[in-house]
Amino acid sequence: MRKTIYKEIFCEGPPESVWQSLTNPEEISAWLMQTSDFRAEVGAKFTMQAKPMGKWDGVIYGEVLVAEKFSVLSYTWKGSQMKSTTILKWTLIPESDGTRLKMEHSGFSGLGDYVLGIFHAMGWNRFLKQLNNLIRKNGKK
Amino acid sequence: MAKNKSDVFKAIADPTRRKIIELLMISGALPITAIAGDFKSARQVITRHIYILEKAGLVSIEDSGRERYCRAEYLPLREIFDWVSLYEKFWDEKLDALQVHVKQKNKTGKKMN
Repeated sequence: MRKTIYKEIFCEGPPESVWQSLTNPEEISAWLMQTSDFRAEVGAKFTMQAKPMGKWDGVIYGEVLVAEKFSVLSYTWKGSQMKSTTILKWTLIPESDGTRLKMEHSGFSGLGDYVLGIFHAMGWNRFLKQLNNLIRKNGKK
Repeated sequence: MAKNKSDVFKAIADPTRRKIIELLMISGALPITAIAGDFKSARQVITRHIYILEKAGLVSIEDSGRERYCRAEYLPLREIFDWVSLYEKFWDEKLDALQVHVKQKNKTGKKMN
C-alpha cells in the first residue's frame, strides 16, 4: 500500500502570495478548511474543521514542524478518530511566472481511519476488523 | 479482477452478504453448502448472494469434486477502504481550490504580506 501522497501544482502568483494562502487562517479557511488559530511558527498548535461525518466530529489537529518563510511549511495532521499522525509538507519553488508548489502527505498506516470512522458508526466493527487482519496477514500486494 | 466500485459498495451494502464475507474471512475457503448451513435463509437465497459477491469480485468460486468452494477476495475492499486513495481525492480538490484562490488573489492585485 502506498504510504505517501505526492502532488504538485503550479500557482499563478509569487511564493510570498502562495505562502500567505498556506499560512493565513482566513485564506486557509477559504480553500482548505475552517481554521482560526493557524500560525506559521514551529511548535504552534492549531485545529481545522472539516464537515463532521458519522461519529467523527470533523476536527483535524496539527502542530507546525517547519516554517521556513516562503519556502517550506510542514505540520502534523491528525483527525480525532485517526490512529496515526500524518505529516503534511509544502515546498514552494519560485518560477519566472509563478510558483511551483509541491505537497507531500505522509505517515499513513493501515486502512483508512477516515473511512473506518464512518463505518464504525454504522456498526461494521467486526467486519472491518476481519478485513484489517486479513490485509495485514497478506501483507503488501 | 478490478471491478467497478459501485458494484463493490452494492455488494457490501447487504447485511447477509457482509456476513458471508466475514464468514469466509474467518474460515478461509468454504463450500457453498457449508456457508448456506450457517444461515436461516433458503440455500438458493444464499447462493444468489454469493453470486452477487462473485460478480463484484469479492468472492472467488472454485470447483473441487462435487463442491463449489468460495473464498473471500479482499483486494476490491482494500481499494475502497484505502484512505490514501481517499485523501488523494481530497487533495486534488483542495489543490484545485488553492490554485484558483491564488490566481484570483493575484489578479485582483490584493495586497500581500
